[in-house]
Amino acid sequence: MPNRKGARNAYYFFVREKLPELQRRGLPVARVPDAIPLCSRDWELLTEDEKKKYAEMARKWRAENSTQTSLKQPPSQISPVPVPLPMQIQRRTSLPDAISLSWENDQAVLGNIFYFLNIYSHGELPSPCEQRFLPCEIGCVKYSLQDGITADFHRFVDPGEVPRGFRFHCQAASDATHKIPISGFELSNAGHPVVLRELYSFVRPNHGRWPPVYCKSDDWYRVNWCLKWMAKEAGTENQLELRSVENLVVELYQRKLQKEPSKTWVRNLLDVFVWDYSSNTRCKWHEENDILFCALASCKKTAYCISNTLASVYGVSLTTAHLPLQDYDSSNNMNPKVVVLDAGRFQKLRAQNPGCNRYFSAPVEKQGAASSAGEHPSGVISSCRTSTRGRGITRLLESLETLSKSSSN
Amino acid sequence: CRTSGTTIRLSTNHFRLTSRPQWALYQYHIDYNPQMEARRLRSALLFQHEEFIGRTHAFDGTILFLPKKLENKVTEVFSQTRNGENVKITITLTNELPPTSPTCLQFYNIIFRRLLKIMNLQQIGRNYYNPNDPISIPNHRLMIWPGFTTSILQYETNIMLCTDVSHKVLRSETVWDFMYNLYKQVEEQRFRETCAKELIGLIVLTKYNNKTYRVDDIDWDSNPKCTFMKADGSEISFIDYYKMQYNQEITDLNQPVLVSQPKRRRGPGMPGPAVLIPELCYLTGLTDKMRSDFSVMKDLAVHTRLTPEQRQHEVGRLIDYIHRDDNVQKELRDWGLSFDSNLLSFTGRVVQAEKIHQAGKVFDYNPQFADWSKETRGAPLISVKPLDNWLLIYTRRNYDAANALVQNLFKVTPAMGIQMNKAIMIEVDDRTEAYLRVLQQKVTSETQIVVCLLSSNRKDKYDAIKKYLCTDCPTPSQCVIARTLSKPQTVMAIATKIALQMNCKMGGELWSVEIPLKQVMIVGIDCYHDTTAGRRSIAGFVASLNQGMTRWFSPLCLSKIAARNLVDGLKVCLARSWFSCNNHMPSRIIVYRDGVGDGQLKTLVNYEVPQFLDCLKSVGKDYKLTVIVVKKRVNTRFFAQAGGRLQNPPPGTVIDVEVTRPEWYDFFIVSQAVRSGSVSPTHYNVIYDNSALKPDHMQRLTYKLCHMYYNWPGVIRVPAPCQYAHKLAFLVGQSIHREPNLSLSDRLYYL
Repeated sequence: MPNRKGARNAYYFFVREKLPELQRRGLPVARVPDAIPLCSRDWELLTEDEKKKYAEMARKWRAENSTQTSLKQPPSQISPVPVPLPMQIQRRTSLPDAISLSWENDQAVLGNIFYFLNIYSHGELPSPCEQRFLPCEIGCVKYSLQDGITADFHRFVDPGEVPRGFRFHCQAASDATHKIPISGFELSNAGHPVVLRELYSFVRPNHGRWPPVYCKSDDWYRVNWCLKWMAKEAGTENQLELRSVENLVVELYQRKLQKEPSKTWVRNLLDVFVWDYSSNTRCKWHEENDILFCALASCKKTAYCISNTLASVYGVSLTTAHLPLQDYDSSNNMNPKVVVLDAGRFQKLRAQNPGCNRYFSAPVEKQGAASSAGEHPSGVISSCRTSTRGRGITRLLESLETLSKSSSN
Repeated sequence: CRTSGTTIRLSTNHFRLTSRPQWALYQYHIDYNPQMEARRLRSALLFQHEEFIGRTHAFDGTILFLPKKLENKVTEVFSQTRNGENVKITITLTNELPPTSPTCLQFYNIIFRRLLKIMNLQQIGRNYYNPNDPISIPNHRLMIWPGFTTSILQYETNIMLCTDVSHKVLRSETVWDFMYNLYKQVEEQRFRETCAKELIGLIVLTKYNNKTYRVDDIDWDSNPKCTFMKADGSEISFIDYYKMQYNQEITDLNQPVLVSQPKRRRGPGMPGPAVLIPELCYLTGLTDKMRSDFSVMKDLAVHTRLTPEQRQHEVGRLIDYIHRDDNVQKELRDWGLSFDSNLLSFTGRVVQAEKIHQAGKVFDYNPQFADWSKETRGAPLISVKPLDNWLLIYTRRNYDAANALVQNLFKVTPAMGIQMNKAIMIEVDDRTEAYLRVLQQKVTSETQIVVCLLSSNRKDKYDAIKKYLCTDCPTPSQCVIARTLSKPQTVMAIATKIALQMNCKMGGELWSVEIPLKQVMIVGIDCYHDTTAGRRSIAGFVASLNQGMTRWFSPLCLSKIAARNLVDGLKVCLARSWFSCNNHMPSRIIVYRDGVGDGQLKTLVNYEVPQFLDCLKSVGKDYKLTVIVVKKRVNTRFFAQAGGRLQNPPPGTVIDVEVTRPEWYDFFIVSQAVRSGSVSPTHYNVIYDNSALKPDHMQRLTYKLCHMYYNWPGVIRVPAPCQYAHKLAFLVGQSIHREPNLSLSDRLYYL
């Protein structure tokens, strides 16, 4: 058998160091090879100096192996891996009960509070640029299965100076999605430290422990990067542990139904657009400008999706905090005006009177909206609630009369 | 008679390249000892022996082309570098090329570029332009550089130069002028913001090197006095650099500079962003504002849309330059080459016009216009869907338009044979949310079609409606912009079109042409590539269901264009639909494949076609398969010679001689008619065929299919299945972004 372990390079050691963190995030990575594709972006972010450390580890390992090929001992014990962040150790030790959530019984699960977070950026900057993202909007909601969304948090962030030469890149990315202006936007007046402090006071520690924060796994890299970066700018450590909402769904589902849902099912569950334009979902600015992409809306929609599928499983009755129900109920008081026209009448009239069919023989006849009143057209059935209140409908009825008159002339 | 149709005298924008008898090109390999790296040095060393090699040569660093044969097969010469180093150069004859060899074609193109340079034409992108002879449009501050796109290829019997006119639209102001004007218009504190908004993302041209750049940023902190590090490590200011390198004088020393990111990485060393001086950058192209300005576009069209006569004149100018310029003539003579001075002319065919069948009636149309909207107006359609239960959603402001639409639909539908009943009219607020809520409340499984009257062409509203009605709640839908109904003199014609379109979307059939081929299934495939958001490409797949090609099945839109997926699509069409509609399997399958570049042809032949064949084998029975690649973007133009003048060839003109390629089974068809400018033909390349269908029949069938696109009462540029596939892929790629609901697939819901 070929010695497949012959190819340990600096990147390998970097990935190995990352492995526990990835596992905590719930990614299916058992061994280093599983995690190889997941760490490349973090690797790119390292400075040359930081990379040297891993290169040194790889060099040592190679030296050890060339003399002693049957080495079983993992090289980390030869050269202990320096752990970069003390915080990570602390987390690692408290891993068994790191989740400040209770999963004992259904009642406890229903009361568990989850935070859904999303941070939008002015695009992703290409690799020669030190800075990866320009955080510009933060949305976060506090959610439990029992009570639905109980609080929300939304801020625009002053993205700061756009790295020189990437203005077009950032502008184009924003225009394609959330359309937040890149500069001169009067609503984004707070800098990173302020907004981060506000976010921290929104997601408060529970019994001295920070509650876990969730986002979709597609957004994970961006949101996590932005959190870390903003913390660095503010001169603190990032306090929030970001997890994937997909895994949360799997967990909730499995607990109740004792079987694991398929990945496609989970993805489809979270990828729903019915609430894209629901009221009270987007932030005020995005709602007023009728723009679909909003960080707050994306968090709320995640909550709606979970309510919609899992609340029934857990037997929770849905309220307006779970789903934008008022949109459905409102049909009673919203009263869209509806008129049903019986067109058969027109066709009959036309058949009787070919003269009105001028289109086929002569230039188009001009149909002005006249105002004269005639007999009430029998073909018009107005639905009970509409009557003739609306200006539009009244005018429709009037002009129908005109039409019927002109065609019977 | 082997071929059908009447003959027509045609000429085309091709010129024959001729070489003298027994002409040959000699290819040599050049070796240096010791090894020399720099290409410049290599040629400098070699051409120290010009009196031996001759003045006529083409050398790329290793390969030398000469029009003459050197005395010996291997020649050794010695040169000396500036440092006094002696270098041995070995010249070895490797090949003697006949005029038709592929290497020669490469060589011709190199030589031709050299000629264009001698004539002072400037290369921008792939084309060559003449900056000395600009057309200026002062009232829009625009400038047009005339130019040419050229290629030399081996055609059926000759090697020919194909050249077409190209235009570069420039603005006659520099970025500096633009900034200066803007400064006068806006207040001081908003100037930088406005400037960034207007300028960033534009493409500029620097005339000193004729290169184009995109403005990525404006650096307000720098000015031309700033210095930068040159590759050799020395510091130089922009003023001195531009003076030295390009002999350009910068006058305003306080202007900011523009920053442009290089397009892609070249090699390991990432070049830094390019810094440009506003004063030296000319704005190019048209802004969106200009594009939507009718008068700008009209004034431009005068110069860029050329009639056949004008086009021939312009193309002739290039050949004139070639024949008049002494240096060019000398170069050509030295190589023993020459160009014909006249456009290539030959005989093409015009196939007879089709008859339009519509519910028992037969209509002829004027083949000159290739349009039968007048002829078939008011005639009943082949198959109609009654409108029993349909919604019309409008906003209060568009009440008048909604009213006009309904009234006119009532008037035009009886003649078509459409029964119309009960329009459920719903008034909503002008917000996307309001539209969606009404759709969620009112659209039921009985709803046949939803007509949405929109107040503007805002894409997100349209997208939201289409997304909901194509996936979650599969219902055909028709969006109409209210403004189109505002003119009383056209509203009836528009209502007619809308009624036809609605009927198609619900599964009705409009007209047909006679298709004698039996048991044939036509498939159309086209691709949509999303350029912006990095989304995946999408392929539309459409297959005919019946003999008359009036019903189409559009089962899927694939997010991944792989041969495997296309084959799956084919299987679905065969098994599920064709069989259930016809109770037997088709015996022939003809695939029209659009959206394939010349570079992908090989992949298509080597991978896609065998997969199709395998799939057909697995379904059983021997199918006859034909795969045709459709190409719309060609530089070839044809002109009909009529009464001493050049005109556009009439619709139905088929060309399968002279300008086709010897190694392909290909042909051109001019199927559409154009009102202004020159018509562009469509190129068809049959890359696989085991059906033994005669070329003539293949051409006729293709032309017939160009009549079958139901959104246009006339002949279009491509066969209808291609256009349907394009529409489907476009809708999914632009608006829906996910797989449409299968229950819609037997209708043309994406029209």
